[in-house]
Order: sequence, then C-alpha cells, then structure tokens
Amino acid sequence: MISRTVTRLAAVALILAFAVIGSRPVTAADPIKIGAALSLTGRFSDSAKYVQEGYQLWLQEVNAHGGINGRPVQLITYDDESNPDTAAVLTERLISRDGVVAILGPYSSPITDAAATVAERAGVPMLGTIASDSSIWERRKLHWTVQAFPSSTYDHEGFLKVIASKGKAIKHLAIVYEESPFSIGAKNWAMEEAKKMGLSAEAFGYAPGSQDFSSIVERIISSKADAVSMGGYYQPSIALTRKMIERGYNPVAYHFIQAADGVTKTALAGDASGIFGRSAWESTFTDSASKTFTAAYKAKFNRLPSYHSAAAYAAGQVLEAAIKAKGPDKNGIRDFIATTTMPTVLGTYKLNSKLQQEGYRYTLTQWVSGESKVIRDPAQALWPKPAWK
Amino acid sequence: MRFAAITVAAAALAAVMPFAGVSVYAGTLVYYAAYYLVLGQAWNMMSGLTGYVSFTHGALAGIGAYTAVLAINGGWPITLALVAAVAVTAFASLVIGVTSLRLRGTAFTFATLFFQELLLLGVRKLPAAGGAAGTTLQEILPTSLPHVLMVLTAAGATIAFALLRRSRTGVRLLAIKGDEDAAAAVGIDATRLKIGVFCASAALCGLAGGIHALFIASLHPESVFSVDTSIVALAVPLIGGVETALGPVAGAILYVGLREILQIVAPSLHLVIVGLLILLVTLFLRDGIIGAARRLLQRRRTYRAALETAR
Repeated sequence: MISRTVTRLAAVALILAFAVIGSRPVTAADPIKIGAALSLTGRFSDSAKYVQEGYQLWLQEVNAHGGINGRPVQLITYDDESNPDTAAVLTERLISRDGVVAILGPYSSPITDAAATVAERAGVPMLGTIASDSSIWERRKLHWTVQAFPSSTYDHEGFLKVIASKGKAIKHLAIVYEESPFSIGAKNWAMEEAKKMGLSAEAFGYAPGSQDFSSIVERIISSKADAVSMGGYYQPSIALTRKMIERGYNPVAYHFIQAADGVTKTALAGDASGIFGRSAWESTFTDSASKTFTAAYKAKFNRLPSYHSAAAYAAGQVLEAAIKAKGPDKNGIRDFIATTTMPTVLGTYKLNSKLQQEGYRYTLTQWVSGESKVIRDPAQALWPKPAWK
Repeated sequence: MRFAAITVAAAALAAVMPFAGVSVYAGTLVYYAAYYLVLGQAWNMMSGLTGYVSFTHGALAGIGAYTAVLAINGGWPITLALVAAVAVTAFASLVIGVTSLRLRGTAFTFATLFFQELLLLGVRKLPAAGGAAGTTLQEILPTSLPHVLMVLTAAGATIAFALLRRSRTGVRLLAIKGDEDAAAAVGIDATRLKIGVFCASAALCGLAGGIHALFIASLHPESVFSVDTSIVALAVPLIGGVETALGPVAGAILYVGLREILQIVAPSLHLVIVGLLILLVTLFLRDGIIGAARRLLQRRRTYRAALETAR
C-alpha cells in the first residue's frame, strides 16, 4: 500500500522533471550562443581557470566591437568537475537545452573525449582547445571535433632542429617514449625526421606509469647515445633524469617535453640547467599578436596569461572568424574550422584531413640560469649541456 | 507482483524516451539516473543487506566498461561483449571476495579500497588497454541503445533486489548483518553467502559498466577507477534508504535531479550542497528518504486510527 503511493509519487516527479527540463526553442533575435564546459573544480581546476579567462577576454573584445555580424555573443560556461560523466551531461545540456551553435573545448584529453562523443552524436562543432594528444583523432574518426592546440606528433621537433644547427658532433640520438598512442606517434615522427637528417636514432619504450628507468638508462649508455629526448609525461621524465644523474651519465644535449613546466626547477634545482623543453606559448613571446594579448590579459586579470589562456583566446579567434564567414550555422562553422588557415595568437591555425593540428607548432625552451627561456634561434642555445652538479 | 508491474511500466516509459521526441538532454538525465540506480541497487544487494560496506562498486563497473570496449574493438558483437563484461567483472570480484570476506568487520571495506587503487595502477600500465592514455570505442553508437539497455537493467535490478530481499536468502543475509555469530549458529554458511551475493552484485556492476561504455565511448583509467563513481553507488541507496528496493530508486532520481537543478541555480556551490544533504540524510534519516516517508505515513495512520477510536 505504502510502496504503491511512493511509486506513484516518484512517477509524478519524473514526469514533472521532464516537463521542466524539456528543450526550449531558440529565436533569431537571441544572441549567438556558444558553450563551454570547463573543469572549474577538481583536479584540473588551476589550469582550467586560465582557459576560462582566455575565453572571457575574447568574449569581452568581441562584444566590445559590436558582436559578430551585429549580434552579441553569449558564452555559457558550466563546471564539469574534472569528471567525464559530468562533462557528457553538460555538453548535452549546452546542445539540446541551451541551443549553442558551437562548443569551445574543455580541458584535458579524458574530458575532450567524453564531450566529443556527445558533440559528434549531435552534430555540433567543437574546438579541442587544450587537446595536445593527437591520438584522440587517430583512435576513432571524428567529424565535428578539431584539434586547436599544437599536436603531440611534433613533440620532438624543436629539439631535432637545435641538433641540426648545433649538434654536428652528435652521433647517436636516444628517443625515450611511453607506450601510449600520443608518445608513440611523436616517436615515429621523430625517428623518420632523424633519418632524413642523417642522424642515427634509437627508440626506448617504457610501460605507462613506469617509475624505474635503471635498465633504460643502462641501455642508452651502452648504445653510446650523446643526445636524449624524452617524450613521456612529467613524473616519468623526472624519474629518468634522476636516474641519469645518479648514474653520472651526461649527454651532450637533453630534452624532455614537459621541461618548460615551472616545477622542473623545484624538482631538479641546479641540474635543470641546459635541459631543453617545448612550449605551446609563453607570455614572453615578442610577436605583436602575443604582446597585445598579454597586455590586454594583464590589464583585465592582473596576472600573466599561461599557454592555456592563449590557446583559449586563439580558439575564440577561430570560432569568431567561422561565425563571421558562415553565420551561426553548425555545418558552415564545422566546414570553416576544418578547412581554414588563419593567424591567431598561438600561430597559424591549420588542420590536416584527420582534423589534427598542423599549423601550430611548439617552441623550443631551455633552462638557463634558473629560468626557462624561449629559444627562437638555435644558435643562441646553451650547448653542450653543463654536467650534472 | 504489483511492484514488479509498476517497475516494468515505469521502465517501459523511460525506455521509449529516445524514440518519443523527448529532448536528448532529459533523456541523458534519465539515462544517468538509471545507471546510478543499477550501481546503487548492486551496492544495496551487497552492503545494504550484509552490512559489509563496499567502496569499489564504481571500479567494478569500470572493469565491465574496459572489457566491453576491448571486446567490441576486437570485433566481438555487442551482446557477446556485454556477456564478457559480466563474466570478467564477476570473476574479478572473487579476488576481493575470496580473500577478505572470510574475515569479519572492516577487512572487506579496506580490501575494496585497495582493489580500486590496484586496478588504477594496473590498468595504467596495461598497453593493451591503452595505458594511461585510455581507450576509445572506434565507432560512436547512437544513445538509444545504451539508454534502453540501461533502463531495462535498472528495472531488472530493482525487481531482483525486491525478490532477493523477500526470499529466504535475503533473510539469511539480513541475519548476517544483524549478528553474524548468531547467524552461523543457526546454520547459515555466512562466508559462502557473502561471497555469492558480492559476486552477483559485481556481475550487475559489470553489466552496467559495459552498457555505460557504449554510452560514454571513451575510457581513461584516472576517471574510470576514481573513487567518485563508487561514492555515487553508495550515496544513492544511503539517500533513498538501504535494505529497500525503492530506496535507491528515490536516491538515484533525487541525486541526478538535485545535482542538475543546483548546478543551474547555484553553479559554484552545488557540490557543497549535495554533500551537505547526503550528510544530513545519513545523520538524521538513518533509513533514508523512503524510510522517513514510511514512518510519516505510519504515524499519520496511527493518529487517524487513534482519532477513530476516540470517537
């Protein structure tokens, strides 16, 4: 008897919920709606805040100039709690309840993957703002989601360039990679490129999450490599470096892709000196687009932008151009962002046929006297790497 | 019987949503309510009836999800992949079950926590499962398939729980919760029962995880094996009321609905409010919302009866 009453109540509640949540029509007089699900709480929240500020700055500038084609732009942002399931629900809410015409991407690969699934099903264009892992576009075919961040395929590019310029004496290059799609992709590209340069190269793979690099370091030493490039995540990179220090192995040049991160200095102190890294963007960039962006960002938020903010702003620039050219039409926007080549604060935006980023490239960095410096001209690099302290 | 009929009717109503022109967003919320209901019912089966608290039901669903994705990408048909998800998860649960359910008290709870962590570390290092970068279904399936499957599974799990609760086995399980020594004294093989019900509960999680993989399409170890989903599996029956078939139903609807409404009304505070509510319910409504509602009805009826007699 009681359970029946409760069941009925639950059924009524369910029906009411549908009625309240049901979609609403969007009229032409409304502002152009764009959606973003961001990890404002949870483990990605620090970086996601920078992304959000990048979007906000772009939005403010667009609307200050009278919007796009005379219509104001509205950015609807939700907190995905750094959780893919929440991101899936929110992306659905943005699309079918709020009626957004495009989505500015979330932070990190797991969340991009989850949001992309929803965007693909619904047929809504999405810019993968902070998605460096180009294997996202290798593992399955995506039509509506594009990579708007430098591709991990080119992780080793800057280091190979500095070897080409400075490293005439380099005989053998060791590439360390993680057995994960993004790292394998980067390794394959680098091996091919090294071959073209006439450089002998050897690859050393390690299992994801590995912390013990003793055997890899021994194998690198016995291969007589005089340059090492590590293409894995941050923690394994530090573990590999520590093992090299412990073993007293001093390559002429050493690069790990995450080295530009400020915590490298804390982890390695004086031993960081001479280590190369790579960066998508730095607030010290001196091109006029970056300078204008950095100044505007500092004026609005009273702190320096990170590469996250620049990527977010750049994604906004691309979307703005797309809507300007095609109007708020999903198919039009998708075709525009898939095929256009245009300058942004992050460099030249250009995709390949798999919708992976080809135009944006990483810039080489190097730790010199306690600072991560941008190396535009390879001739300016500190060479060879000072011996471990 | 009536309960089963109502459950089936409600499930049928929810299952046809994707085909009845209801907004995809509303459909998604119903889908998640159904997903959390399956996990909640599975948790209820094990922890609600025996009192052995599990913190790993989310991770068990994760095993099912990984199995399904790897099988489908390997060319298996979806039905077979789901069967594999159930089998692998049930088998994996024996690892915890056989080792820790022989012991009394908190050993099982700790084992479930370690198991969750162990899975995360293991899958991260498994190149076949995509390692730390995770894995993705090569084909994006329409939501209607996981939606219908999940809603039906949720209805099935609710009916199964109600039957189990009323059965002889259910009474035995509750006896274990009440006093394991006394239960053993009247001839209940507690260890075997506990392992059996945990295995069944895990199989249900495996099925839910496998279906969820069809929906979410991408798996990353950090999120699949994070404690978050396990907490939801436990919060749903706790909010609604453990030991009852209806508790998790109320819990799942309330959990999904409330979170969604709060996210719109109080975007920065919604997690705090949900957390506070769970805390308040567990502190002041020990038997959950369904229990409180029952007591309220009961009191009203006694009051009315008293009035009748007074006249």
